[in-house]
Amino acid sequence: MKQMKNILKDNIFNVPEGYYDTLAQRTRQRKRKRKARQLWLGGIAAAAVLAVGMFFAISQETSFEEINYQSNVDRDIELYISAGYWDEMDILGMADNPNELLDEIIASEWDFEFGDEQKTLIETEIFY
Amino acid sequence: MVPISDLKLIELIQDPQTKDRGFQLLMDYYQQRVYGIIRKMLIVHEDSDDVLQNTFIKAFRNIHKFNRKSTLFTWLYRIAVNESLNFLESKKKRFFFPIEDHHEIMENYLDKSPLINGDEIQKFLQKAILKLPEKQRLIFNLRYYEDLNYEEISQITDTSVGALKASYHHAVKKIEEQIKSF
Repeated sequence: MKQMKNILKDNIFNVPEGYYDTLAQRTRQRKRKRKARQLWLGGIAAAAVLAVGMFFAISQETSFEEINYQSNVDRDIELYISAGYWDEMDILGMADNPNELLDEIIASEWDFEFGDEQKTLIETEIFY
Repeated sequence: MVPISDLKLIELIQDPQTKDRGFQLLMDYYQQRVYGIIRKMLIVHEDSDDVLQNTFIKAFRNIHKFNRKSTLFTWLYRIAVNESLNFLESKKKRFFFPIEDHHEIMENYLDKSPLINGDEIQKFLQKAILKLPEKQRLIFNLRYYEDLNYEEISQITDTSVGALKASYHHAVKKIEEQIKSF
């Protein structure tokens, strides 16, 4: 009966002739290739980040332009009003939703008056 | 080849002026032994060559992490073992082929490759070892073929000596059972 101890422990695994002679050189080449690939991938990643950054910057710029445009319009309207060229009725007449605007103005006026009144009441309670 | 200490070898690799020479020496010293353990795990020469090169590239890049608590050889073995097990793991997942297919490739390689030169019983022993679970196979190879002691295997595999002893004896028992049928 065969037993493990009777089997030779010889190495049965061979390598091609001259395998070890070129191994270090081939390994160095592989290392260099990987480094080059890493650098290349790093470059691609950096380019991608730059592209995404530029995309966001351009988007941001567009929205700034929109804001600037809106603020220019607001400034012009204020100029027309302060110069007495337009009055409240002109503005309401030009608005798409004059009733809503009027409601908002009234509501804010009421809030202001109520707030003021309440403040006065509180002050009165404190001091008297 | 003039013997050189681990410390000297590490110094050579870490110095930009001498790193190429250090790398060459590291490979000259350890390539055959490290190849041996990888080949016994992967059987196929081309796979072993691939993993061996990756082992040395990894070692070279991470030499600064070598803590000098073990020998450079034990540290290299550890990387080689991890790379080999990862390779086998990747074969389980790649293209959804099951691991059995890769086992078949390794078994056929033992029968047909011109890079295998053992007699029939030696090949039969290799096939019996192949039937063991991967980690048990690794422990068996390190103990039986590499003649490493349990302390060294413990450092390489991060496994307790007790567990290693149990695993090895279990592996031997399973192999002996198979050899009886030869």
